[in-house]
Amino acid sequence: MAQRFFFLLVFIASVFQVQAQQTHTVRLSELYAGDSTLRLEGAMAEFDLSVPLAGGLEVEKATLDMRAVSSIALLKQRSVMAIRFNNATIFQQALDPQLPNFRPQVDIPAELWREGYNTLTFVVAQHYANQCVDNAAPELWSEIDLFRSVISVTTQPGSGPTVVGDISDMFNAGIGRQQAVTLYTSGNAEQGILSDALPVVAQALALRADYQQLAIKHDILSDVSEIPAPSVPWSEEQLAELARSSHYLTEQDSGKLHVLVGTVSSLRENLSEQTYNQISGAYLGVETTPAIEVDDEIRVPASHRLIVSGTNSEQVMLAAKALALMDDGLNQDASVVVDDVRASSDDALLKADTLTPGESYSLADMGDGGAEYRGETSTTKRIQFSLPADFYVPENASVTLLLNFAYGAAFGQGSMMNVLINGELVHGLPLTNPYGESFSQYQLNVPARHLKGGTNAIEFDVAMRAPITDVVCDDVVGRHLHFQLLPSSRIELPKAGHVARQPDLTLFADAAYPMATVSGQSADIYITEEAMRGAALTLSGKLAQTVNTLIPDLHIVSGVPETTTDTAFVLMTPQTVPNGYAEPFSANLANTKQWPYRIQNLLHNRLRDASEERKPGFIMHGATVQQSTLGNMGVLVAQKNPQGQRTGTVFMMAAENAELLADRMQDLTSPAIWGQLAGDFVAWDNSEQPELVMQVADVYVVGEFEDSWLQTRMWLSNHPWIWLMALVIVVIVCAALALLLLRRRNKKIQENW
Amino acid sequence: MSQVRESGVRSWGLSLLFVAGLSLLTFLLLIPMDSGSQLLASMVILIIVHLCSQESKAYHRYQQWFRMVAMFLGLALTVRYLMWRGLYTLTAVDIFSLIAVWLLFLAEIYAGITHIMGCMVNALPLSRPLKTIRDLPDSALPTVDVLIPTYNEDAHLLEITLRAALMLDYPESKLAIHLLDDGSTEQKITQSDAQGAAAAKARKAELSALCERLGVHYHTRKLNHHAKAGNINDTLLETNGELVVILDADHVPTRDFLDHTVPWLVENEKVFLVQTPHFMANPDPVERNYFSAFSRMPSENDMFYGTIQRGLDFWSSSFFCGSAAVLRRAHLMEVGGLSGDSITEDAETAFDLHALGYESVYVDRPMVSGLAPETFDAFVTQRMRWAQGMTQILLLKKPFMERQLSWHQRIGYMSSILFWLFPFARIIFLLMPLAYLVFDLQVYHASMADIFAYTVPHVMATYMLSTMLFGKTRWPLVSELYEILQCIFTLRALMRVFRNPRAPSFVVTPKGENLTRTFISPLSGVFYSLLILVTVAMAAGILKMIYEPLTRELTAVVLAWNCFNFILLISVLGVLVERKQVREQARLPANDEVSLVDADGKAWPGHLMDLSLGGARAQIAGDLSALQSQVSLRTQREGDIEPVLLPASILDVSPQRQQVRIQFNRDTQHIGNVIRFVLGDSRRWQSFQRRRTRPISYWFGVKHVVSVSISPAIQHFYLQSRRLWRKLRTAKEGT
Repeated sequence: MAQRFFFLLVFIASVFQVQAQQTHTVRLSELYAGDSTLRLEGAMAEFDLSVPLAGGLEVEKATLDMRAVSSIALLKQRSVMAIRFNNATIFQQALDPQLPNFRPQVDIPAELWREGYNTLTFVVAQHYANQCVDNAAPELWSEIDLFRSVISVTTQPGSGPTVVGDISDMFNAGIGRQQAVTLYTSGNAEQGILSDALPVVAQALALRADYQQLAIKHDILSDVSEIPAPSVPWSEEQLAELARSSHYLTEQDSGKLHVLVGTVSSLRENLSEQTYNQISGAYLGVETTPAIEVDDEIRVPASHRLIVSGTNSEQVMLAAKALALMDDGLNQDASVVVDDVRASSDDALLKADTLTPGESYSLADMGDGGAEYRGETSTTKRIQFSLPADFYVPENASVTLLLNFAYGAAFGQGSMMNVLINGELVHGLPLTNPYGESFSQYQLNVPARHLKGGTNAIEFDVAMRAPITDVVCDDVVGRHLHFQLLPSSRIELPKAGHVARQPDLTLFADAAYPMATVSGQSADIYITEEAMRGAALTLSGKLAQTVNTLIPDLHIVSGVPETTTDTAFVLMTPQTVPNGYAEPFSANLANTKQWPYRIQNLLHNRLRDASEERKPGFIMHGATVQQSTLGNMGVLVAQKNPQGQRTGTVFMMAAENAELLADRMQDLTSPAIWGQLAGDFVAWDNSEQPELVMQVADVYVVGEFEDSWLQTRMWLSNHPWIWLMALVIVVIVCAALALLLLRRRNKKIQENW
Repeated sequence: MSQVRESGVRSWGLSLLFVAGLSLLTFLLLIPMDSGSQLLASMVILIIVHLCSQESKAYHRYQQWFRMVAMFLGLALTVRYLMWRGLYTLTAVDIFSLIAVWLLFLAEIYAGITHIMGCMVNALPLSRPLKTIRDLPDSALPTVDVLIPTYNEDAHLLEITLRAALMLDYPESKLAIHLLDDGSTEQKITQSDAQGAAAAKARKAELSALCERLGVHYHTRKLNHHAKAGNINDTLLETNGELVVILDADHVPTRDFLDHTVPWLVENEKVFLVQTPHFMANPDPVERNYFSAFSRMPSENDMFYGTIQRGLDFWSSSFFCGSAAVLRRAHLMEVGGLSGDSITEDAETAFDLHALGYESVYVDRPMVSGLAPETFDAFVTQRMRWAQGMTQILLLKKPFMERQLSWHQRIGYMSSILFWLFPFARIIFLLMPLAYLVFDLQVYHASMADIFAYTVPHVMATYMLSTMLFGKTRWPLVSELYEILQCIFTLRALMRVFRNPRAPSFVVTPKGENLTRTFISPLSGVFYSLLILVTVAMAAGILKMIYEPLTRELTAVVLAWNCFNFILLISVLGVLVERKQVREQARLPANDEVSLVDADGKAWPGHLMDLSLGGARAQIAGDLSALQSQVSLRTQREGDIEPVLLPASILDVSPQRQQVRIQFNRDTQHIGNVIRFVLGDSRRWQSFQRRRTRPISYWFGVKHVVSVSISPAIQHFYLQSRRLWRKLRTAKEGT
């Protein structure tokens, strides 16, 4: 018995140790959007990498395990690599041509870490001779393998959230952040809580994670009676204390922030008297649950929880909405009672972060301060902005950039500025005037087809090179070089219609369209099993992250009614495919699977660009019908909704069972899979790479067709044969009538001869 | 009666249906589509247009139907293009670009409208049967006055015309020939310039003697008011023939001219005009200087007389062309004779009479041979008069608003008149690439995809339809060449008309000039300037291609456009080399069976190869060494009872090739027979015309133009250098 008790103590201690102290390992490539190999070239080069750290953590220990290689032409005495962390040099090493590959293990002092973004700087000084080193010599290079270089950070949790504003620390994008959260409701929670409030809470938490993956689960608050009694039965006091604890937490959730959502009456059992009394309206509060210790044994550890509650469902919804919209920095109380949330309209949320077609915006309007660069460098200024997901312009529409920028005197050859829109080069300008130049309203008219619905980016690639003197060993150091892009620079957007081609999973991944539209029409997520609610919540969180704001009309509905919202997302297993969701589709996910030939044809190709699927000639039509399972796969199919009242898109996601579905949903919301969504059929079984990305069904058009002309344009663009046939028929009729009339006239003339 | 009413109702119903169909078609063409889809649709349409236009050339039951389908589909692409241009591409970043954009668009609108009207007019050209007065009793034949106005043409030229007029197959008692001499009026004889007055006096004596000798009525008048129209109108008051034939001084009628024209006037009292083609017996400067293919390719006026006038005839709007026509005096006098508000009195008179409800007839048989202007200078003078006159009609008579004309007559006249505004559009098309390549103005706001989806199909469809409608009578790129040649000069003339519509005065086209040496036309300067501008644009375009990679696609398109202009301008240089022309009369191909008969009655059979009033070249069988220097050419023309016997001198004998060149004896005794044989038979002109009116492919046309363009450019350089060298040498010798 003593032995058993000892082992139990050791186990509990180790569990708490593990939970208390965590080591997080991150590849450097995960922190950098560019290529996984970082090349530092020239006599001197420097590169900054942002290393985010989640809030509420104390760093115990941090190590950088770096893989690098340098040129064997370097002179050891004069070639050095240094690493700085938040501007403090933490490492330096001579670049030895005899040992070109090196793998330093660099300790990053814990005291240098700060919450939020930290800067890891790689600096190299590279020389191949003691003097007269040509800065542009090709042998001056070093490479850092960002994929194989990792940072390990061992953290100790802090004191936990003490005020409502602290919850953002828990989910902030950064090392050590909380990557999963469970929302608890009582067993007798109202339907409104489950369908309306939970998705809003899920979105609120996901928005705090920025673009990072957040797995959201749902669970029911278990009854105290389910907890096994200790050696002696629980006393009344103990049971009351136990009820207020986080006894319902699973082992996985232990130590993490979790959320209780429900009306005060439904949560009554789990709330302390004090909290219960505080909930007089829409309530948001954080608290630490008491640890339950019996016989020196911690039966239920203390935990931190967020309570979203109110005296009725509406108030809970109000509290959830406030959680999604509030600025954490302003909430320095442990609890908040929300009286009201005022917004001009729900769609204003989506519009707020989106540029309006037909309008003109300065960089300052878009929250960008422009750019200023000094010294010899090649750098890129990236300005991101969102356009309505259903942004649609004719082929010949233009977007105008009116740039205010300047560069100083004595720029050398090779100095230039390139302008790219969504990765496509649209303009180049050599910076060659020896006296410098200042441009005001420098106008670029670029075809608006370079823009797309969702997130767009304008990039300014600026290279500043010092002049060449043509005198040996007389290099000009380029510190005088100066470039400014002023925030008064403007972008003038063309007028656009709200029309989109569907189904298009790229647009879905880019802008959550049409699940989130500015028209604010409800687009619900339907679950065919209650166990899928967590997956649905994860999805709603991801959709909010995608549009970067709350989608207020997103509901999670149990079961699939006969008439759904026009746009709908249905979660299912082969066993629970609802009636009417199998036959009309080219891909049938039910037990009897139907796979279109198109999928079959290209299975061997694995991942393909969905846009290629329109190439004729390579595709056999037809389908195979088979009895099979989905295995570990998750499948997402987007097609025209047969159950909506108007034209809309239904997204159907299926996995073999609800548990697998939750896993695949987590994979789906990972940046790797989400970023590669395209076409209308995606299958995957991990979070790294989709199995298959295809365009299976015919495209159609949806949108707010206030402009029927635009609607017609879109429709005809998708069906040019119909226009052509109509034209040819009308022409044939006109030609026949014209000929008839001409012949009549001819006959009449001849009668006079 | 009820049948007529029923037919009328049916026609109305069909018209209504047709209008509804056109409305639907317009709506379809207005519906926008993305460029990728449009490209697909346009390509399919172009294929159908091509197939239908090919089918329309074959003789079968559905020939006309295929022609209609091709035309409607081709025009659909043009209309769609113009709508797309108007709705989506007229944006500009600055005021200069905006002006350029609109100028180009207006030029395109102009080109589009003239193309559409051209297609409509020529949809179903009328083919009239050949009528003859032999089918009419002599008593039914009206009296005819043949009026030949002259101003400065010499007596030899007039003698030929007068003699040919006297040979017309028509009852002698009902035919009177009149020479209307405006070069010997009292005003001319009493002018202050003594030399001019003496010349006018001598001319009067010479021409009145000629008329007396031939039995022709000679007329002159006091004043030269209202030029040619005034001359004819004054004579109309002195004559009384029921019908009036008007012939220019150089227009020689064939004998059957009245035979085939008068029946139309006899059988229909409402006909006021029977117009026939002007057949040119010599090449115009473009044909002579540039193509040197007068007998192998369609002449410039073949398109007008061979196709367009027939098209206009279908729509009752074929008009008087100043000569080679028969008019009814009674109708003519209703409008006070030939109209004189414009300097194209012919078209204006036809317009006035059409407005009174009278009808015109076009007989498509060449029965009058005339002379085209010999020099480029004379050619331009003639075209400027036509352009000014037609524009005067547009401004003074406003045909589009003339309620008395039917809608199709208005379109017919507008089509004929609007054509003459081409200089505005042509200059814009020539210079607009400069705006982009040199001045960086954004003249065309469209993506490459748009250009391929809308612009290219429109251009291709336009060429396809032009080839289908006019392919036999106008080879590819020839219209462009003529337009470029005239545009600068005509533009200036048009501007004068727009400033003051009544300002222009009649200028007689110089004809019958001889070119004794090859020289560069004095009008070349303006084309050198244009060529320099286009070359600069070409250089700027190449630099733009190299240094501005981001706009390379659009630059490539505009550069191609500029290259096209460059080729045309280089080609134009060929016309400006005025080539030496020694022969008085142009020789035309002939293939009459003939024999040369010497004084002993010995005959050498053979056939003619070419023929002119001066002489002929013949392929002769037998021993040519035995030929005497004086022979007679004997032949039998179909329909003649007596054989033709023309005394001639042997000029040259080529025994190797069995060819003989002869010169006709044109003394007073024989000149009549020579004219009768050479110029008196319309079948000769018809056969010649048929021989040269043939379609060629577009690429052959382009190849042809390019191939004949290179050497004239070198010749220009050579001749200009020589001229400069001579000037320098003269200046040096002077010092």
